[in-house]
Amino acid sequence: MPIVTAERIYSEGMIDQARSEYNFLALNVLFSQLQANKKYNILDMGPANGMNLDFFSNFRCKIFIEDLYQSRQEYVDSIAGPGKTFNIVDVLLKYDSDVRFDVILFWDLFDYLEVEELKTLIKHISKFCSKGSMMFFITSGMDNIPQEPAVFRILDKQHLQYENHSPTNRRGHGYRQSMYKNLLPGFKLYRGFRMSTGMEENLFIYTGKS
Amino acid sequence: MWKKNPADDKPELPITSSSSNGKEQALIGPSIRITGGLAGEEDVIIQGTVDGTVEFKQHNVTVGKHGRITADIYAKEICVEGNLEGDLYGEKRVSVRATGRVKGNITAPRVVMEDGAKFKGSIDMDAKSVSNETNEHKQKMTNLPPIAEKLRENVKPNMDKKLHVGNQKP
Repeated sequence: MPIVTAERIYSEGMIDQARSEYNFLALNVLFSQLQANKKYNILDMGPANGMNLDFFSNFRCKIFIEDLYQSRQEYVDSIAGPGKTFNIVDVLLKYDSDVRFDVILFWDLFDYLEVEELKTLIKHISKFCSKGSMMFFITSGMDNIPQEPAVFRILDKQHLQYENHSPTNRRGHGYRQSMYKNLLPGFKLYRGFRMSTGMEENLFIYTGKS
Repeated sequence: MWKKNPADDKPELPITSSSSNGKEQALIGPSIRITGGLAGEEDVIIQGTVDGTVEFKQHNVTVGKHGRITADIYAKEICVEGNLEGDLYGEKRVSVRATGRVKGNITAPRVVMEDGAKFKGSIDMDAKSVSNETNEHKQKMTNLPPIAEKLRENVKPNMDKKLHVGNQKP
Protein backbone atom coordinates (compact mmCIF):
# COMPACT_ATOMS: atom_id res chain seq x y z
CA MET A 1 0.00 0.00 0.00
CA PRO A 2 1.55 3.36 -0.98
CA ILE A 3 2.02 5.85 1.80
CA VAL A 4 0.41 9.08 0.70
CA THR A 5 1.44 12.22 2.46
CA ALA A 6 -1.13 14.47 4.03
CA GLU A 7 -0.19 17.29 1.69
CA ARG A 8 -1.09 15.18 -1.34
CA ILE A 9 -4.41 14.13 0.09
CA TYR A 10 -5.70 17.64 0.40
CA SER A 11 -3.87 19.69 -2.19
CA GLU A 12 -4.41 17.34 -5.10
CA GLY A 13 -8.05 16.64 -4.33
CA MET A 14 -7.40 12.99 -3.59
CA ILE A 15 -9.95 13.02 -0.83
CA ASP A 16 -12.15 10.37 -2.50
CA GLN A 17 -11.52 6.89 -1.22
CA ALA A 18 -8.23 8.08 0.22
CA ARG A 19 -6.30 5.72 2.42
CA SER A 20 -3.11 6.87 3.99
CA GLU A 21 -0.91 6.53 7.01
CA TYR A 22 -0.14 9.33 9.40
CA ASN A 23 2.24 9.82 12.24
CA PHE A 24 0.29 11.12 15.25
CA LEU A 25 2.48 12.57 17.94
CA ALA A 26 -0.24 13.19 20.54
CA LEU A 27 -1.54 9.67 20.07
CA ASN A 28 1.95 8.40 20.73
CA VAL A 29 2.03 10.36 23.98
CA LEU A 30 -1.29 8.80 24.97
CA PHE A 31 -0.54 5.19 24.06
CA SER A 32 2.97 5.34 25.51
CA GLN A 33 1.37 5.87 28.90
CA LEU A 34 -0.61 2.64 28.77
CA GLN A 35 0.96 -0.10 30.85
CA ALA A 36 0.53 -3.75 30.02
CA ASN A 37 -0.36 -4.84 33.56
CA LYS A 38 -2.97 -2.19 34.38
CA LYS A 39 -6.63 -2.46 33.48
CA TYR A 40 -8.10 0.41 31.45
CA ASN A 41 -11.56 1.49 30.43
CA ILE A 42 -11.47 2.87 26.92
CA LEU A 43 -14.36 4.76 25.37
CA ASP A 44 -14.16 4.63 21.59
CA MET A 45 -16.65 6.92 19.91
CA GLY A 46 -15.80 5.53 16.49
CA PRO A 47 -17.01 2.32 14.86
CA ALA A 48 -15.58 -1.06 15.84
CA ASN A 49 -12.72 -2.29 13.74
CA GLY A 50 -10.53 -5.33 14.03
CA MET A 51 -7.16 -3.59 13.88
CA ASN A 52 -7.98 -1.36 16.83
CA LEU A 53 -9.17 -4.35 18.83
CA ASP A 54 -5.94 -6.15 18.02
CA PHE A 55 -3.97 -3.18 19.28
CA PHE A 56 -5.94 -2.93 22.52
CA SER A 57 -5.71 -6.67 23.09
CA ASN A 58 -2.08 -6.00 24.06
CA PHE A 59 -3.38 -4.29 27.18
CA ARG A 60 -5.88 -5.28 29.84
CA CYS A 61 -8.73 -3.21 28.48
CA LYS A 62 -12.44 -2.98 28.51
CA ILE A 63 -13.44 -1.10 25.39
CA PHE A 64 -16.77 0.65 25.05
CA ILE A 65 -17.61 1.13 21.39
CA GLU A 66 -20.22 3.77 20.65
CA ASP A 67 -20.14 4.02 16.84
CA LEU A 68 -21.54 7.46 17.58
CA TYR A 69 -22.00 8.77 14.04
CA GLN A 70 -23.91 5.71 12.84
CA SER A 71 -25.93 5.46 16.05
CA ARG A 72 -26.86 9.11 15.84
CA GLN A 73 -27.96 8.76 12.22
CA GLU A 74 -30.08 5.71 13.05
CA TYR A 75 -31.59 7.46 16.04
CA VAL A 76 -32.49 10.54 13.99
CA ASP A 77 -34.03 8.36 11.26
CA SER A 78 -35.96 6.01 13.51
CA ILE A 79 -37.04 7.87 16.62
CA ALA A 80 -36.55 11.56 16.48
CA GLY A 81 -37.12 12.05 12.77
CA PRO A 82 -35.19 14.48 10.61
CA GLY A 83 -35.22 18.04 11.84
CA LYS A 84 -36.57 17.10 15.28
CA THR A 85 -34.56 17.85 18.38
CA PHE A 86 -33.19 15.08 20.55
CA ASN A 87 -30.67 14.62 23.30
CA ILE A 88 -27.40 13.17 22.01
CA VAL A 89 -26.95 11.38 25.34
CA ASP A 90 -29.91 9.13 24.47
CA VAL A 91 -27.83 7.68 21.66
CA LEU A 92 -25.07 6.56 24.02
CA LEU A 93 -24.67 3.27 25.85
CA LYS A 94 -25.87 3.27 29.44
CA TYR A 95 -22.69 3.18 31.51
CA ASP A 96 -22.64 1.76 35.03
CA SER A 97 -22.37 4.60 37.52
CA ASP A 98 -19.01 3.34 38.82
CA VAL A 99 -17.35 3.20 35.38
CA ARG A 100 -14.48 5.63 34.90
CA PHE A 101 -12.92 6.04 31.48
CA ASP A 102 -9.15 6.28 31.28
CA VAL A 103 -9.05 6.99 27.57
CA ILE A 104 -11.67 8.58 25.32
CA LEU A 105 -11.14 8.43 21.57
CA PHE A 106 -13.23 10.82 19.53
CA TRP A 107 -11.16 10.52 16.32
CA ASP A 108 -12.56 13.13 13.88
CA LEU A 109 -16.10 13.15 15.28
CA PHE A 110 -15.95 16.66 16.74
CA ASP A 111 -16.24 17.97 13.18
CA TYR A 112 -19.54 16.12 12.80
CA LEU A 113 -21.21 17.35 15.96
CA GLU A 114 -23.01 20.63 16.51
CA VAL A 115 -21.62 22.88 19.24
CA GLU A 116 -24.55 22.22 21.58
CA GLU A 117 -24.34 18.47 21.00
CA LEU A 118 -20.68 18.51 21.77
CA LYS A 119 -21.21 20.47 24.97
CA THR A 120 -23.95 18.09 26.12
CA LEU A 121 -21.84 15.08 25.27
CA ILE A 122 -18.76 16.33 27.09
CA LYS A 123 -20.82 17.28 30.14
CA HIS A 124 -22.24 13.76 30.27
CA ILE A 125 -18.95 11.96 29.65
CA SER A 126 -17.21 14.08 32.28
CA LYS A 127 -19.33 12.29 34.90
CA PHE A 128 -17.49 9.11 33.98
CA CYS A 129 -14.00 10.63 34.01
CA SER A 130 -11.54 10.82 36.83
CA LYS A 131 -8.53 13.09 37.19
CA GLY A 132 -6.04 12.09 34.55
CA SER A 133 -8.56 10.69 32.03
CA MET A 134 -7.27 11.39 28.53
CA MET A 135 -9.30 12.45 25.52
CA PHE A 136 -7.93 12.31 21.98
CA PHE A 137 -9.49 13.91 18.93
CA ILE A 138 -8.60 15.24 15.51
CA THR A 139 -10.10 18.26 13.79
CA SER A 140 -9.63 18.91 10.11
CA GLY A 141 -8.81 22.61 10.30
CA MET A 142 -10.32 22.87 6.80
CA ASP A 143 -13.46 24.69 5.68
CA ASN A 144 -14.64 21.54 3.94
CA ILE A 145 -14.58 18.12 5.50
CA PRO A 146 -15.49 14.69 4.07
CA GLN A 147 -19.24 14.06 4.07
CA GLU A 148 -18.84 11.30 6.66
CA PRO A 149 -16.22 10.62 9.32
CA ALA A 150 -13.12 8.74 8.27
CA VAL A 151 -12.14 5.32 9.56
CA PHE A 152 -9.03 5.32 11.74
CA ARG A 153 -7.13 2.09 12.18
CA ILE A 154 -4.36 1.87 14.73
CA LEU A 155 -1.22 0.47 13.12
CA ASP A 156 0.94 1.01 16.18
CA LYS A 157 1.04 3.49 19.05
CA GLN A 158 2.06 6.33 16.77
CA HIS A 159 0.65 5.50 13.35
CA LEU A 160 -2.90 5.52 12.14
CA GLN A 161 -4.29 4.40 8.84
CA TYR A 162 -6.84 6.95 7.68
CA GLU A 163 -9.58 5.88 5.31
CA ASN A 164 -11.99 8.34 3.80
CA HIS A 165 -14.88 6.69 2.00
CA SER A 166 -16.85 9.89 1.30
CA PRO A 167 -17.09 10.86 -2.36
CA THR A 168 -18.21 14.39 -1.45
CA ASN A 169 -17.37 17.06 1.09
CA ARG A 170 -19.40 19.34 3.34
CA ARG A 171 -18.82 22.40 5.48
CA GLY A 172 -17.08 21.76 8.75
CA HIS A 173 -17.58 23.51 12.09
CA GLY A 174 -14.07 24.88 12.02
CA TYR A 175 -13.25 23.94 15.61
CA ARG A 176 -9.96 25.44 16.73
CA GLN A 177 -7.86 25.09 19.87
CA SER A 178 -8.94 28.55 21.03
CA MET A 179 -12.57 27.33 21.24
CA TYR A 180 -11.97 24.31 23.44
CA LYS A 181 -11.95 26.07 26.79
CA ASN A 182 -15.69 26.67 26.45
CA LEU A 183 -16.41 23.41 24.69
CA LEU A 184 -14.52 21.12 27.04
CA PRO A 185 -14.99 22.31 30.62
CA GLY A 186 -12.99 20.24 33.08
CA PHE A 187 -10.46 19.26 30.42
CA LYS A 188 -7.09 20.86 29.85
CA LEU A 189 -4.90 20.67 26.76
CA TYR A 190 -2.09 18.20 27.39
CA ARG A 191 -0.59 17.95 23.90
CA GLY A 192 -1.69 19.57 20.66
CA PHE A 193 -0.11 19.39 17.25
CA ARG A 194 -1.00 21.07 14.01
CA MET A 195 -0.09 18.94 11.04
CA SER A 196 1.08 20.29 7.71
CA THR A 197 -2.28 19.32 6.23
CA GLY A 198 -4.05 21.72 8.55
CA MET A 199 -5.32 18.86 10.71
CA GLU A 200 -4.99 19.33 14.44
CA GLU A 201 -4.52 16.42 16.80
CA ASN A 202 -5.36 17.10 20.40
CA LEU A 203 -4.84 15.27 23.62
CA PHE A 204 -6.76 16.66 26.59
CA ILE A 205 -6.53 15.61 30.19
CA TYR A 206 -9.39 15.72 32.67
CA THR A 207 -8.66 17.89 35.67
CA GLY A 208 -12.21 18.46 36.87
CA LYS A 209 -11.59 22.19 37.03
CA SER A 210 -13.53 24.45 34.66
CA MET B 1 -22.29 -34.95 -17.00
CA TRP B 2 -24.70 -36.29 -14.38
CA LYS B 3 -28.31 -36.81 -15.21
CA LYS B 4 -30.31 -34.64 -12.90
CA ASN B 5 -33.06 -36.31 -10.97
CA PRO B 6 -36.09 -33.94 -10.51
CA ALA B 7 -36.35 -35.17 -6.95
CA ASP B 8 -32.99 -33.53 -6.29
CA ASP B 9 -34.64 -30.11 -6.52
CA LYS B 10 -36.84 -30.81 -3.53
CA PRO B 11 -35.47 -29.19 -0.39
CA GLU B 12 -34.13 -31.73 2.03
CA LEU B 13 -34.96 -31.63 5.69
CA PRO B 14 -31.59 -30.97 7.24
CA ILE B 15 -31.15 -32.42 10.65
CA THR B 16 -27.56 -31.53 11.04
CA SER B 17 -24.94 -29.92 8.88
CA SER B 18 -21.21 -30.24 8.76
CA SER B 19 -18.91 -27.42 9.70
CA SER B 20 -15.68 -26.67 7.89
CA ASN B 21 -13.83 -28.97 10.30
CA GLY B 22 -16.19 -31.82 9.42
CA LYS B 23 -17.82 -31.79 12.84
CA GLU B 24 -21.58 -32.32 12.97
CA GLN B 25 -23.57 -29.23 13.88
CA ALA B 26 -27.21 -28.97 14.87
CA LEU B 27 -29.23 -26.53 12.84
CA ILE B 28 -32.09 -24.28 13.88
CA GLY B 29 -33.76 -23.32 10.62
CA PRO B 30 -34.95 -19.84 9.63
CA SER B 31 -38.63 -20.62 10.27
CA ILE B 32 -38.03 -21.71 13.85
CA ARG B 33 -38.74 -19.38 16.74
CA ILE B 34 -37.65 -20.28 20.25
CA THR B 35 -38.62 -18.35 23.36
CA GLY B 36 -36.81 -19.25 26.57
CA GLY B 37 -33.61 -21.15 27.27
CA LEU B 38 -31.73 -23.09 24.67
CA ALA B 39 -28.94 -25.46 25.69
CA GLY B 40 -27.14 -28.43 24.23
CA GLU B 41 -24.09 -30.64 24.04
CA GLU B 42 -23.13 -30.17 20.40
CA ASP B 43 -22.26 -27.31 18.08
CA VAL B 44 -25.21 -25.36 16.72
CA ILE B 45 -26.01 -23.01 13.87
CA ILE B 46 -28.95 -20.72 14.53
CA GLN B 47 -30.70 -19.35 11.46
CA GLY B 48 -34.00 -18.83 13.25
CA THR B 49 -35.22 -16.53 16.00
CA VAL B 50 -34.28 -17.04 19.63
CA ASP B 51 -35.48 -14.95 22.52
CA GLY B 52 -34.00 -15.97 25.88
CA THR B 53 -30.66 -17.57 26.76
CA VAL B 54 -28.39 -19.73 24.63
CA GLU B 55 -26.02 -21.98 26.51
CA PHE B 56 -23.61 -24.35 24.78
CA LYS B 57 -20.66 -23.92 27.12
CA GLN B 58 -18.52 -26.75 25.77
CA HIS B 59 -19.48 -26.13 22.16
CA ASN B 60 -19.60 -23.56 19.40
CA VAL B 61 -22.56 -21.38 18.49
CA THR B 62 -22.95 -19.75 15.09
CA VAL B 63 -25.63 -17.15 14.55
CA GLY B 64 -26.19 -17.49 10.82
CA LYS B 65 -27.02 -14.67 8.41
CA HIS B 66 -30.74 -15.25 8.92
CA GLY B 67 -30.44 -15.57 12.68
CA ARG B 68 -32.28 -13.06 14.87
CA ILE B 69 -31.25 -13.42 18.48
CA THR B 70 -32.33 -11.49 21.54
CA ALA B 71 -30.42 -13.47 24.13
CA ASP B 72 -27.22 -13.82 26.06
CA ILE B 73 -25.00 -16.55 24.63
CA TYR B 74 -22.56 -18.72 26.59
CA ALA B 75 -20.33 -20.94 24.45
CA LYS B 76 -16.77 -22.00 23.76
CA GLU B 77 -16.67 -20.08 20.49
CA ILE B 78 -19.33 -17.76 19.13
CA CYS B 79 -19.59 -16.54 15.56
CA VAL B 80 -22.18 -13.93 14.57
CA GLU B 81 -23.21 -13.45 10.96
CA GLY B 82 -26.75 -12.25 11.67
CA ASN B 83 -28.45 -9.91 14.14
CA LEU B 84 -27.96 -10.18 17.85
CA GLU B 85 -28.99 -8.15 20.84
CA GLY B 86 -27.56 -9.49 24.07
CA ASP B 87 -24.30 -10.29 25.82
CA LEU B 88 -21.80 -12.80 24.48
CA TYR B 89 -19.54 -14.89 26.70
CA GLY B 90 -17.01 -16.85 24.66
CA GLU B 91 -14.62 -19.08 26.56
CA LYS B 92 -12.17 -19.03 23.65
CA ARG B 93 -13.30 -16.56 21.03
CA VAL B 94 -16.08 -14.36 19.69
CA SER B 95 -16.14 -13.39 16.01
CA VAL B 96 -18.43 -10.87 14.37
CA ARG B 97 -18.45 -11.38 10.62
CA ALA B 98 -18.93 -8.63 8.03
CA THR B 99 -22.68 -9.27 7.92
CA GLY B 100 -23.00 -9.37 11.71
CA ARG B 101 -24.91 -6.77 13.71
CA VAL B 102 -24.38 -6.91 17.46
CA LYS B 103 -25.71 -4.71 20.23
CA GLY B 104 -24.47 -5.92 23.59
CA ASN B 105 -21.34 -6.73 25.51
CA ILE B 106 -18.66 -9.24 24.59
CA THR B 107 -16.49 -11.04 27.13
CA ALA B 108 -13.89 -13.32 25.54
CA PRO B 109 -10.10 -13.63 25.51
CA ARG B 110 -10.06 -13.14 21.74
CA VAL B 111 -12.45 -11.01 19.71
CA VAL B 112 -12.44 -10.82 15.93
CA MET B 113 -14.31 -8.02 14.21
CA GLU B 114 -14.46 -8.19 10.43
CA ASP B 115 -14.64 -5.11 8.23
CA GLY B 116 -18.27 -4.18 7.75
CA ALA B 117 -19.42 -5.68 11.05
CA LYS B 118 -21.61 -3.38 13.15
CA PHE B 119 -21.11 -3.39 16.87
CA LYS B 120 -22.25 -1.23 19.75
CA GLY B 121 -21.40 -2.17 23.29
CA SER B 122 -18.40 -3.12 25.36
CA ILE B 123 -15.64 -5.63 24.72
CA ASP B 124 -13.66 -7.16 27.55
CA MET B 125 -10.70 -9.31 26.54
CA ASP B 126 -9.03 -9.27 29.92
CA ALA B 127 -8.34 -12.88 30.93
CA LYS B 128 -9.34 -12.21 34.56
CA SER B 129 -12.73 -10.77 33.59
CA VAL B 130 -13.38 -13.65 31.21
CA SER B 131 -12.66 -16.25 33.85
CA ASN B 132 -14.69 -14.32 36.48
CA GLU B 133 -17.71 -14.05 34.22
CA THR B 134 -17.57 -17.72 33.24
CA ASN B 135 -17.12 -18.89 36.82
CA GLU B 136 -19.92 -16.64 38.01
CA HIS B 137 -22.22 -18.11 35.41
CA LYS B 138 -21.16 -21.69 36.23
CA GLN B 139 -21.80 -20.93 39.89
CA LYS B 140 -25.27 -19.61 39.09
CA MET B 141 -26.07 -22.74 37.13
CA THR B 142 -24.84 -25.12 39.85
CA ASN B 143 -26.68 -23.20 42.57
CA LEU B 144 -30.05 -23.57 40.91
CA PRO B 145 -32.86 -24.62 43.26
CA PRO B 146 -33.91 -28.27 42.89
CA ILE B 147 -36.97 -27.50 40.78
CA ALA B 148 -34.97 -25.30 38.42
CA GLU B 149 -32.28 -27.98 38.24
CA LYS B 150 -34.94 -30.52 37.37
CA LEU B 151 -36.28 -28.26 34.66
CA ARG B 152 -32.79 -27.72 33.32
CA GLU B 153 -32.24 -31.46 33.15
CA ASN B 154 -35.48 -31.82 31.28
CA VAL B 155 -34.64 -29.12 28.83
CA LYS B 156 -31.53 -30.83 27.52
CA PRO B 157 -33.08 -33.95 25.98
CA ASN B 158 -35.91 -31.86 24.56
CA MET B 159 -33.44 -29.45 23.13
CA ASP B 160 -31.99 -32.18 20.97
CA LYS B 161 -35.43 -32.61 19.44
CA LYS B 162 -35.84 -28.89 19.00
CA LEU B 163 -32.44 -28.51 17.44
CA HIS B 164 -33.18 -31.25 14.95
CA VAL B 165 -36.45 -29.90 13.68
CA GLY B 166 -34.83 -27.48 11.26
CA ASN B 167 -36.79 -27.90 8.05
CA GLN B 168 -35.20 -25.39 5.76
CA LYS B 169 -31.75 -24.99 4.46
CA PRO B 170 -30.05 -21.82 5.69
